[in-house]
Parts: sequence; C-alpha cells; structure tokens
Amino acid sequence: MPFLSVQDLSFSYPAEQNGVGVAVDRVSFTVEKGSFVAILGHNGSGKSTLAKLLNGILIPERGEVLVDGIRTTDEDRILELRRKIGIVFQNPDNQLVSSIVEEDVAFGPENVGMPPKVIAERVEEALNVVRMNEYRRAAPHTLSGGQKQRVAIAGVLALGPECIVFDESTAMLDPVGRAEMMEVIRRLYKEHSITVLLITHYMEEAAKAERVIVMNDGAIALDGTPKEVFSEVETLWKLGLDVPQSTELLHLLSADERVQERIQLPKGIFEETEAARLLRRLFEARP
Amino acid sequence: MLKDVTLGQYFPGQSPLHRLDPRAKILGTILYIVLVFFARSFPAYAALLAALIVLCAVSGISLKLILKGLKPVVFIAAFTAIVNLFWTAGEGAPLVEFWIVRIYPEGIYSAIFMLLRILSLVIGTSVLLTYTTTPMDLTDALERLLKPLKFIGVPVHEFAMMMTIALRFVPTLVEETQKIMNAQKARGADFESGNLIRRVKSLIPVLIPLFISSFRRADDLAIAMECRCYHGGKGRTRMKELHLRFGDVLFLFSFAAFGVLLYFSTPFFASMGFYIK
Repeated sequence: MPFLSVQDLSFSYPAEQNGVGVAVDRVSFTVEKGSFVAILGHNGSGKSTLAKLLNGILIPERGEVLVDGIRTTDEDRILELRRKIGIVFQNPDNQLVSSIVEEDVAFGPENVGMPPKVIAERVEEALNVVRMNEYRRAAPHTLSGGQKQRVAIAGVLALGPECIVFDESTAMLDPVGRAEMMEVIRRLYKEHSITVLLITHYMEEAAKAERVIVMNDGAIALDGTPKEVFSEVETLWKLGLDVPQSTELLHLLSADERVQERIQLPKGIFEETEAARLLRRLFEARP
Repeated sequence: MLKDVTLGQYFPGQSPLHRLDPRAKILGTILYIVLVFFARSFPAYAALLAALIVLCAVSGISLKLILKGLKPVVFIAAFTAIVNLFWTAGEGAPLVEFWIVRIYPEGIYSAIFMLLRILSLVIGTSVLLTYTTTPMDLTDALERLLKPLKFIGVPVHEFAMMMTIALRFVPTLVEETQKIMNAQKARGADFESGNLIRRVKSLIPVLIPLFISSFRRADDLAIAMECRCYHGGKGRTRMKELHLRFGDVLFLFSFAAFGVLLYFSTPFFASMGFYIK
C-alpha cells in the first residue's frame, strides 16, 4: 500500500472568497514511502490547496486522501495523521509560535502530550538535524529567513513525521537561505528517509526530486521523472512554467538544423555537467 | 527608532533572583505589594527598605538601570508627594503659613511616605519580577498559578497561549510597521510635520496595511498551529516543568515570615508614637 494515496480529489473555495472556481480538480496520484516528489505549478494552479488537503486542514469536496491508511476526514485519528505528515509553509514569520527557538520546536510534541523528558530529547535531536542547536535560546526575530525556516522544519521534525510537505517554503528566502533549505531537505530524504513533497515553482529545486508532478488549473498536467517532465519543454512553456537553463539551451540548440546535422541531442537534460558534456561532443562532432 | 523596543524589560543574568522559580517570584511580588501598603511606621518602612536594598543587591542589576526604570513614575510620585504635603491637615500649629498654603509636620511625613511607597513599589516589583524574569517564564508561571480557575470555566490555557503569541509577534509587527512607514515615506508621506491631528491622520495609511497583514498572519499561524497538532489545552504537556526547589520554598517562607513580623509589629511601634496614618 502506498504511503499517500489521493483519489479523485476535488476542492473549490466559496465563490466570494476567490472567484477562480475549482482549486483542485479530480486529482489522483500515489506517493510511495521514502520518495522525493516535487509538485510544480504556477501561482493559482492549486498546489497549495492540495497541501492543505493532504493533512485534513481542508476537507475534500469529493474524492479522498489516505495517509498511511488514515482518511483525512477521520476526526478521531486526525492527530495521528498530522503526526505522520507535517507541513512547512511559505512565510517564515507566520509559523513560529514562541519567542524562544527551543520552546517553539517543543510546541508540537507538547500538543500531543509527550512526557517532558521525551520532548527535550526530541527538540535536541530535531535542532541537530537542521543544525540550529547553537541558537536554541535565541528569539526568532533575531534569526535570518533561512534560519527561521530551519526552525520551522525542526518544529515539524520533533513530532517524528514520516512525510514532510514543503509548501513553497523557499519562496520568500534569499539565495543563501534557499540553498540552506535545499541542503536540509536533501538530508531529510537521504539520511533520515523521510518522504518529501516539495511544492515549488523553482525548476532547479524540482530537478532534484525523483519525480515531478506538474499542476495546471487544479489538475495534473504532467507526471514523471525530472528527465521525462523536462523533455516536454513546449508543454511546460504553454503552462507558463520555465525549464532549467541547461534544458532550455539544449532544447533551442536541438531545433537548429546545423546542430541536427552533427549530433542528436537527447531530451530532458537538466544537469549542468551533463549539458556541458553534450556541448563538448557537439563542438567536436563533424557534420 | 522602533528597533530597540525592549520587551518586558528583562535583563539577562545568573543571580539567585533570576534563578528563582517564577511562581515563587509572582507570589513574592504580591506579598511585597501587600507589605508596602501595610507598612505604616518608621521602623516598618526602614525594614522594608532594607529588604529592598538586599533584593537589589542580590539581583545584580545596576543601580543605573533601576533608577532609569523609575523615570515613568517620577511625575506621579512627585505629584502625589506635593498633594500630600499641602493638603494634609495637622493637629498642631502649621510650620509654614502664607496666603492659602499651610504646611504641617504631618504633611511632610505623609509626603515622604507616599514618595517612598510609590518608589519602593516600582523598584520592588521590577527587580523582583520584570527585570529578572523572561516574559515567557512569566506567562508560564501565570498559567500554572491560575490553573485552579479552569474548574470555574476560566480559559486559563487560552489566555496564556494568547500572551505567548502576542509576545512572539511584537518584534515582528514592529519591524513590519517600520517597513510600511518607509514604503509610505518613499512615496512622499510625511509623518513628522504638522499638528497632532495631522500627524495622527498621517498614520492611518500605516495602520490599515498593518491590520490587514496581521489578520493574514493570524490566519497563517492558526493553520500552522493546527498542522502541528494544536487542539487547545486538553492533554497538553510542557517540555519545561517548573519544580519548586528548596531555595524557592525558603525564599517564600522567609519573605512571608518577614511580612508577618512587619504586620504584627505595627501596633507595637504605633504605641511608641511611630504610627502614621
């Protein structure tokens, strides 16, 4: 059984709240335990709504979401479900509760009633994972955006989740903060075998995932490995999305006759080193 | 200008007063306030002031900071003293008498006592409580002390949570206010000139965006809290448990003993003519 199973999921906001209409439209997909999935889409494509549907913050209009076998509408088990799947949101300022870092991280475990000793251990461990232990007594407003987001991750980690959803968590950060976050996310997935769902509109971040789901107007437009998805350059452009720079370069080159005469460029390349290797082959090839 | 807002005026330190259990400090402060109002004789006041000096010395907070903290009350203290000085009627002949002013010896006494009472009240509560206790510890201690009120339907946990969140967001909102003001200034807004009404009016374009963004923040925060399994105070534990240690109990008992002594000694001192009303 997959860890996360979304079946025929639909949701729309009340008309007066936003006139867009259906936010999520008959979406179905499953995610296996321990995988790293990126969900791509431009603003208003329904990806943030999807995140809130995954842990029962929003209740589906139709269809269902199962997390490790628990339905999100099952009110008796909602705490159990939210311990399994945590969400880190976009705005680093709006998700920290306490004016001391370690007490903020303790917030989740305190809510589920863990004994004080266990909470202290978990807080220590979570802060170590995100490398924020030296700031344990600091006040959030003295930290940088990237550091605040790492504290937010620790707050989710302290509950011992099996899956973490990052809902545009890097969107408000500077490049340094963004790089720090991606490094933490990589560690969570590689070293702590946590299932990661990365909601983003940055191609470079999505390219790091094992699988990319592209959303458009509340529905799934593309679903595959980064290589498969980035092969569809024209489709992505039509959906208002960019592709990684190296993908774009190779795509434009492969449309050129003089290039076609020399070599056949493969589709969906997104790694710089791979692109550089292909360019070298292109220069060395004789027509 | 808004950057250096200090919250609750806590001054970090490692003194015994800092390390005292916040609940003991709250109870001690309440006791202290009661004592200040009960002390009505010279010796009682002398004892109280001596206790205050000991507390200040133990707290390790510099005299300069303590005196700085008195700034806001200087006016009230002076005003009260002057009113007492002129409006207290004595039994004997007035010391000074001209036009409508009559100053009696009793007036001078009560002016001095009022001054001492207000100053020792402010110094005592700040040294014992706000200067040496973090706002978080205060909130925590209040939640625990007021816990029994839960049974008569007072939402103690909710109030404490609101306090915590408010404390957390004050610096964030201060920062945001500054940002909005800068943005408005860049577009030609003028906050500094004109009369008071004009200046208050010029703040409206700052307050409206601030309110709107606060509502959005509240919304975001509520969702983030729910995602972290928040469901009210039911079944909630705390990482940091407060334990009354021997030192805390000793402090409370000795303070209470001091108070009892002070209270019962008043009639004795009064009989010796030290009483002031």
